[in-house]
Amino acid sequence: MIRMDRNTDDQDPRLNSLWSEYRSACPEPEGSVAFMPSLWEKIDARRTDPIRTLRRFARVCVMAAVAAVLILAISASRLQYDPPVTANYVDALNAEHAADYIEVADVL
Amino acid sequence: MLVEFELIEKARGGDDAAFNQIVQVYRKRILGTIARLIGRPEDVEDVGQEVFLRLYFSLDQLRTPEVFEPWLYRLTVNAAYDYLRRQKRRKESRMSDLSEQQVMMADAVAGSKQNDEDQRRTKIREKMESLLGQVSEEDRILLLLKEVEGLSLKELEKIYNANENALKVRLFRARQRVLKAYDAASGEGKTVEGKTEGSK
Repeated sequence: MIRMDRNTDDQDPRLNSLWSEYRSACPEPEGSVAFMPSLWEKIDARRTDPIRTLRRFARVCVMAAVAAVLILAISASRLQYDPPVTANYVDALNAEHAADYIEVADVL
Repeated sequence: MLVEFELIEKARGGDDAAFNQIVQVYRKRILGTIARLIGRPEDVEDVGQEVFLRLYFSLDQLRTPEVFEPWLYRLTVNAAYDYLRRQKRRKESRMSDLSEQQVMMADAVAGSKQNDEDQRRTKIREKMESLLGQVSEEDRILLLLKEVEGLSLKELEKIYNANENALKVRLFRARQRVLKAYDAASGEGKTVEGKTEGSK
């Protein structure tokens, strides 16, 4: 089985010299004088690109829709936790004066 | 880091002058990396502009200025991949445009214009590129970032979002393939596996 060196930097010296030779043989381009103007042209073109603007608008719409759904979901869940109304006014009044009726019954 | 965090923050905030300064600082380094990754000097500037263009429009996604350099390298690697993928698709049609004779004549003209030093450099580049041709595009780029650009494993971890051990294994295998090709090309007749077995 091939043994993998614990430290991968300890590699074959032949490759090391090849890498350094290759490094020095590669050109170091600086870019032409037109590099920056051309870059800004591209940036401006993309800034005003209608498809890009539409895409950004669509993204904002999607985010707004997600936020609206979240708000609705939270408020709906809160409504479910509100105690349900089980008794009407007459029932509540009955419950309040239940003792009075018993007293009256006792008197009778 | 070649630039101050403050400058990156300013550029993130939409300061074009700050962005300009960042491009000026990193331009040479990024163009050099691209030149090695794509191997086509005539297209380096275009790919470089694409990298900075992507940087401009993705700066707001940068979480913290501390990860700026790995982020920029990731953009560079991705732009290089995209370019190489496009080239692969165009390669066949481009080759069919030129006859063999035309290709040979173009080579001869180019060769006669070069001086000795240029020829030596070209030879080294061709040799290395042929060795690197033995590994996949992804591993070739990984090897170049590690060995030629001199990025550390920690930096590569951030660029690739991969764990260090996985990267070590990939690098090890890629190096083994390159060495094998090197041995085959120089006719030493020793296989890398045999040598490694023997060193146990």
